Amino acid sequence: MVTIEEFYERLKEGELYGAKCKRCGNISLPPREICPKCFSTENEWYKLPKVGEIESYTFITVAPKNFESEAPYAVCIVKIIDSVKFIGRMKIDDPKEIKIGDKVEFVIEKNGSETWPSWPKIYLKKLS
Amino acid sequence: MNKPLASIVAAGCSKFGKRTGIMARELLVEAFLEAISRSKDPDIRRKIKVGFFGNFSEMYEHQSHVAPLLADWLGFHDLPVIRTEDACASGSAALRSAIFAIKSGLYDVALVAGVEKMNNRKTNEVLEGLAMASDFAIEQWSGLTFAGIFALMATWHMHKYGTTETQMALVAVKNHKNATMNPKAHMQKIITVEDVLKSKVVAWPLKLYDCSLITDGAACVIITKPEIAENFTDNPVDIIGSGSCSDHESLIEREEISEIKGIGKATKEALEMAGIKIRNVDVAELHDCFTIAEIIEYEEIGIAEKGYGGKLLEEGATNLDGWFPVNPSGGLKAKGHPVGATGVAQIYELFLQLRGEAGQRQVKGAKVGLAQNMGGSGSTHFVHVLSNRI
Repeated sequence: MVTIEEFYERLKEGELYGAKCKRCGNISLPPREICPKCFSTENEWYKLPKVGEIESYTFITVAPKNFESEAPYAVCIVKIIDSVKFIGRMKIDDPKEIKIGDKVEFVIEKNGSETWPSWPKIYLKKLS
Repeated sequence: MNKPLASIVAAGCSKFGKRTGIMARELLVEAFLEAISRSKDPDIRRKIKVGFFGNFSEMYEHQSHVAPLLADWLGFHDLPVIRTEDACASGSAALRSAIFAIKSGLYDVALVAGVEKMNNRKTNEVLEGLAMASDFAIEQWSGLTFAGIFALMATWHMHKYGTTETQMALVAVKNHKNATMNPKAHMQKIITVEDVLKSKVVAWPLKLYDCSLITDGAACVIITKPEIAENFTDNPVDIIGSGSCSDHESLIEREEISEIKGIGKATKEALEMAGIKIRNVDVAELHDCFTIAEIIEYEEIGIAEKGYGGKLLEEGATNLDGWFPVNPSGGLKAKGHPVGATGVAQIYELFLQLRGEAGQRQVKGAKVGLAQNMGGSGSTHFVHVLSNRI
């Protein structure tokens, strides 16, 4: 079964994977066992590039408690291929530093947490 | 117009605001006493045979298992009770569940309640609690707040359609103005476009005045099967349509991030059930959790083409005296947004509007009302259509 835990384990090793449906070819990100397009449970891990372009973004100054020490930061939706999108955080000081369509790369940072979840942190770096 | 699903015979709402010193259960008592005082049957309390309680977070009062507790404080000790939780749509989930109960024939009279007490916690803790209504594995993990999620929609809407920060500000200006005529609203303060634009950025492009309020409040309605409604009031309000659906919890999985398609689907279902068109609606309460949401809602319910929601505000179309008045109560934006109460409070406002009891903010001659309430970033949806019998 494809699981969120294994998705993050793979990400921790530096690789971004979705789940590809063997019946209809749809790629789920985050990966899941049942294909949201055709309901098939025949799937396989599918390696995705760790680059994409910003589809939308926000610049957060009032952060949830667990993220206050990092604020302000941008959170961007990144289009990887066609309908496959992922999300990451970017340390910037002004929303004017980024725009829709900018090319970005996912940068994975390990998380030393000893309690669940020990999923890595996901940042974005602008590609020039 | 089709046969009603159920009828609203009584409604009550607490004062919304920072209600220091009052717990959730006590807020609901305030709403409940108003509701039963509206009934011409002084014994309506004993006719209630089932209760549905909308409530979102255990975090605010460190309290789960709220349904029997809330019922207890209303004086019920042997009532079948169910709590509903669909984030900001928890109250509408309670209403729809009660409609199921009536429509099934199992019960004749049902209590629908919604409540949230949010101001015991610091703002950052409240935001963390609210963020729990987004996908933990993806959205919460990225540091998104709800303002952040709606900001992602706003950025794309601005990019794709040219929607402006000023148009978004007009939602806040309108709803704040309406709230000055609602004595139960959290804020009674006229604001200007400039006030909104100059307010502190929370999640760009959204600023403080683009966001709904952190509010304590409760609302309740009593619904019956239509045939017996007039035992309790001479002026019942019928529920003639109810639509609902879900969508991906996480925004990144939706194909078009500035569309909230579930709103359109639930609206269509509710209007078809009612046997009417959107143009037959006289007054609407829409889920303006953030200003951009109200603009997207205009487009989804079908009063504006995609991308033209902002234009309606410039034309004043949704003002109290416009051709499609939206949020006469002041909306989540200024009346306030006690999460679990919001869906029921929308119904309370329409109950007043359709009975001609809304005072200064009355939409003249309103016969049909529509309430649209959603959970999270639009992953649960409820739309109800109401009509008076005049």
